[in-house]
Amino acid sequence: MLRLRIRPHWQFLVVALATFGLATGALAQVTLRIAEHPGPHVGPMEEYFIPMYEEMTGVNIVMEVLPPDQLWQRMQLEAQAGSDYYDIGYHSPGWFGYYYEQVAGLDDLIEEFGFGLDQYSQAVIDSHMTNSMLRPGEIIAIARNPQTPIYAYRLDWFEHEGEREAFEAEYGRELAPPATWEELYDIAAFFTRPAGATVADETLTSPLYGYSASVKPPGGMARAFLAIVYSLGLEGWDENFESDLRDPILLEGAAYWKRLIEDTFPPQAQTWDFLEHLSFMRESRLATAELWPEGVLTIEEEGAPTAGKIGYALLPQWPGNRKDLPVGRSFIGGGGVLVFDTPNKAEAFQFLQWLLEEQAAEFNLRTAMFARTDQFEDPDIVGAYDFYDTFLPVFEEQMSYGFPRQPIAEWGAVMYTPVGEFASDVLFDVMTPERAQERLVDNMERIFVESGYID
Amino acid sequence: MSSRRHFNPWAFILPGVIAGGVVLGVPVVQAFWTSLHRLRLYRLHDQVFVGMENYLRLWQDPLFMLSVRSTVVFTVGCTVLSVLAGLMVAAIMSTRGIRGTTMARFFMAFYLVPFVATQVVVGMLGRLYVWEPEYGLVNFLLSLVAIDGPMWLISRDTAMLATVITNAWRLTPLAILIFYAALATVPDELLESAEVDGAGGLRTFTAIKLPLIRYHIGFVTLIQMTSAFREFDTVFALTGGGPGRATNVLSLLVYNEGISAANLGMANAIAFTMLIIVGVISLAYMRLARLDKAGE
Repeated sequence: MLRLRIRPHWQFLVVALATFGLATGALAQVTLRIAEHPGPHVGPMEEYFIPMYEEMTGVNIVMEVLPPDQLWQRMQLEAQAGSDYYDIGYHSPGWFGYYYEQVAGLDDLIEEFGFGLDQYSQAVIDSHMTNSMLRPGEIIAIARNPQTPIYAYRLDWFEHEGEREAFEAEYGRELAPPATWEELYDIAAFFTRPAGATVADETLTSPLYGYSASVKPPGGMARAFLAIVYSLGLEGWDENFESDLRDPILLEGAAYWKRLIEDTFPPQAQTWDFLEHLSFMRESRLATAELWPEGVLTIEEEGAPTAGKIGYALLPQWPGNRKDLPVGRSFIGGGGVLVFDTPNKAEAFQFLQWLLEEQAAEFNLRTAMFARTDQFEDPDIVGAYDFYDTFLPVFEEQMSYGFPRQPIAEWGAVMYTPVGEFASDVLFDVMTPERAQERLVDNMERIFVESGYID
Repeated sequence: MSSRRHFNPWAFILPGVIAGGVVLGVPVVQAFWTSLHRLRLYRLHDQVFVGMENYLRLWQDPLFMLSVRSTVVFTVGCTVLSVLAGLMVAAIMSTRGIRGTTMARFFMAFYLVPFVATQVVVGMLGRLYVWEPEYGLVNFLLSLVAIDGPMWLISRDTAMLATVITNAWRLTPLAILIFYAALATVPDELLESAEVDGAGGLRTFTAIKLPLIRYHIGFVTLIQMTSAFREFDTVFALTGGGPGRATNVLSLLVYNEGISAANLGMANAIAFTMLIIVGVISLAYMRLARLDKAGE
């Protein structure tokens, strides 16, 4: 006979209370969701900073790392849907227009929690922490790694006697970092060699390429080719929204870019999004490269075959450029972090304050990402790596030439994607350079008319 | 009584009609409506009616025509390859002596793997392990016969071929399944008569089996064609439309216009144009099939 045995009431009570306590505890726990860009900060965030903060505060942090092109789309989707899914997002000034209405203004939080803005230069605040057109007068993000690309080269090969003599015999000048983009081409062409040839007395087991960036269209291509566009002294448009991209110098730049890619880039570069070419350099398959500073540890980290063998220089000048620039330049890229206007925005801001202010030095030591002036002056940071002696001065000087993107919502639709497509269409002969240029400018002007900037 | 009899069938299909109308009709109408507007991804609340402007600009755009050309090559390539491969495998598997054996069952299951694989995964596998120039399977196999394989997905001359082969591989299992089932319905008596008359395997296949399964072939062709025509995932993961615009099929153009260029009005105009093209192809096929049946 089945007998149901009922336990004493107090046992049920304990179990019920414990269950209720656990459930309400779990409900009360704040979960912060971060939409994050790939980069050298991801490892340290996952393995060090986030676990430490979770243990300290009980706040739960979930970080989703997405490929660049998907990242802003996902952030926009969630923001437009009002899902409050992400509390923190990666901030690229070029993407801000896609969700600027759903981003929390930080001024109140900065005042409430006492975040110091004095360690950020005005240029960084202007380009990465404010947006004078879409959210005037507000701090809308915290800069984390504003940067602009520099030139990296194999110092040991540049100093090799045999290579120097061979270069001088061929080009009639010393092998040194290029002063002009044409010199950059010569150096790249000089070092582009087939497998079986030698470089610095070593036989190559695979082909060596002279120069590279990651140029997968349209994003990677845009990012890399914009270094040419801005070096030409072009800015896209002026304060009256009149395009300067009709200038024939753009065609000179495009023809140069095509020649440089076809003659000196590894073919795989067309499939690389951002920093992948640095892995090629690390394997000694690339002599010189465009270097977005956040990728520097790929070639300089301890144990890397190229560590201590890399030289750094400013981007070379384009003689005859329209702004009389003494050196080459690109836009100020990299980014920061923003807080979406969700119920967790205060907790999200506190986490960012802890990470980027309290842990500023530790964050930099683990990621090599620079944003604050004190990071450039801290002896612990400056002395952290030998290569900083040569790298940091170049990084800082190149930043002073960086072009801050115009703060309009349409920047990506008139500049980034169309410029990438322009370069790609010229490179692959999809259409004539003139036709591609016309298309680029027509698109820009049509959008400016649509947006009411011009009649 | 009579009205009751007429009412019942409608009552049964009405939920399906409503569900279909909501699930299919609403998005189609919405897409068409959006295609008549200027709508930017960064200004979703600012929708301006522009009539047929997006369609007019589309047909004047050389890149659209380039994508149409790529899509035609891709669609025809995938359809022909998958139908032929499907026929071949199904014919072998349904041959007497092979059909029903453990080995046949094993291979049938094996051939279905691409059918259950996620399209993006197929694209990624293709990019990283099959067509990769240095470590990929194809160039490894070519190296065994002393051939230096090309950079399949990076060269404009070979990217489309590699993309077609990869997608055809994914489409083939459906063809195998349907053809195998269709071939199983061919009466044994017919095959035995042919054998008695001295017809060989090839003759039996072309003169008896093929005509008997021609509707299945037509059906599979239509399914594969429409599937390849709107393919996005595999191509996106494999080449992203490149190199240049060599594999930039229409579905990728929709994505690039809508997302990268933030032009939702134009993206919907392209998508709606694609819908019309697929509709015309399907109607043409059905009409041909009806004529064929009527001529029997």
